[in-house]
Amino acid sequence: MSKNAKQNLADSKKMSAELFCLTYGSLVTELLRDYEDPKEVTMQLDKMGFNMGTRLADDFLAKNSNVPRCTDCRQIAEVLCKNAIPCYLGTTANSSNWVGGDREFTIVIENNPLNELVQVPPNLLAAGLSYSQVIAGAIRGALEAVHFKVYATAMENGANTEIRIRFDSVLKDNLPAGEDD
Amino acid sequence: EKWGEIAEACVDSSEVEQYTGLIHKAFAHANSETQLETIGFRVGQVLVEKVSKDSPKLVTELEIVKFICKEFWSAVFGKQVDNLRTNHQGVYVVQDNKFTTLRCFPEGTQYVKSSGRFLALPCGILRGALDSLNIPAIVTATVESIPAVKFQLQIAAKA
Repeated sequence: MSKNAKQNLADSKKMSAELFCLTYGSLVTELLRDYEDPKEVTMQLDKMGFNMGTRLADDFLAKNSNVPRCTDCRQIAEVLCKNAIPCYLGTTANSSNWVGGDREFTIVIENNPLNELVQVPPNLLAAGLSYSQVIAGAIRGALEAVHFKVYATAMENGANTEIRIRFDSVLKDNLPAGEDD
Repeated sequence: EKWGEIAEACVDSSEVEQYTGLIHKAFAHANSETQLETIGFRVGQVLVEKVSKDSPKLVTELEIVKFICKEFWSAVFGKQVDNLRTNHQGVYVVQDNKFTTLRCFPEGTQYVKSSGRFLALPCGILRGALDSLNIPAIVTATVESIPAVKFQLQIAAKA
């Protein structure tokens, strides 16, 4: 999906940004109607994102063979911001706000395409709905697929979306994520 | 809570029959296709407004359907339709030989049955778009061989 998708729509890998954004909005609305509790909706979005992420990781590594093996969080953040997010969201991102000895950082996504035609009611945000949690979930899923356990939460901040990522541990087992659950 | 009552009341399977209407209704409201269709409807309503913002006034039914097949289709699904036919009595058959949502599927007839739920959303989008342009319609999709899809737009009679 990309901003200038109009010309490239015939390409089967791309879809209309507006269609995507509106469909996602409707999906969240439907989830809100189903679960009634915004916190539960956030959890469901996270789960969806996680499942997307575990698959996206394979796709990402297949497309970007030049990505180096990451050994620390700074490298993870760099790959996420420079390669992964532009590749799948068609927008730029920056990492900042490093704390806890580089174990915790924030990725700021400018012009989050999910938010483009959307205004999330403040009362839902206050009740614990995290509209773009699907992105955070996807990052968590993708990193888990390459054996990094992280916690990720999304926060709306005006035009930008902030994804707070906390590194937990390196997973040791060799079972690919998503196979056992 | 009504389900509890029914479960209590129906000791005999023959008694279930008197509730079939209710059961059908309950299932119709809960299945995934219906929900996807509802999501699509909302999406279509909004999308068509964005797409038709700068277009000239659409007067006749045929003009509107043509608009859906050309501008709307290429804005949403990435290409124009391949064939549009009508019986001039409110039924339009739109054919797309390479429909977006089925493009990633293996071609052929093997997965035709499971493609149904992937077309519920586009059907809803089309229904929503037509509804916004003041044409209430029933939209159904048929697949004979992936990725070609035939959409049937059945325009509801004007009251």
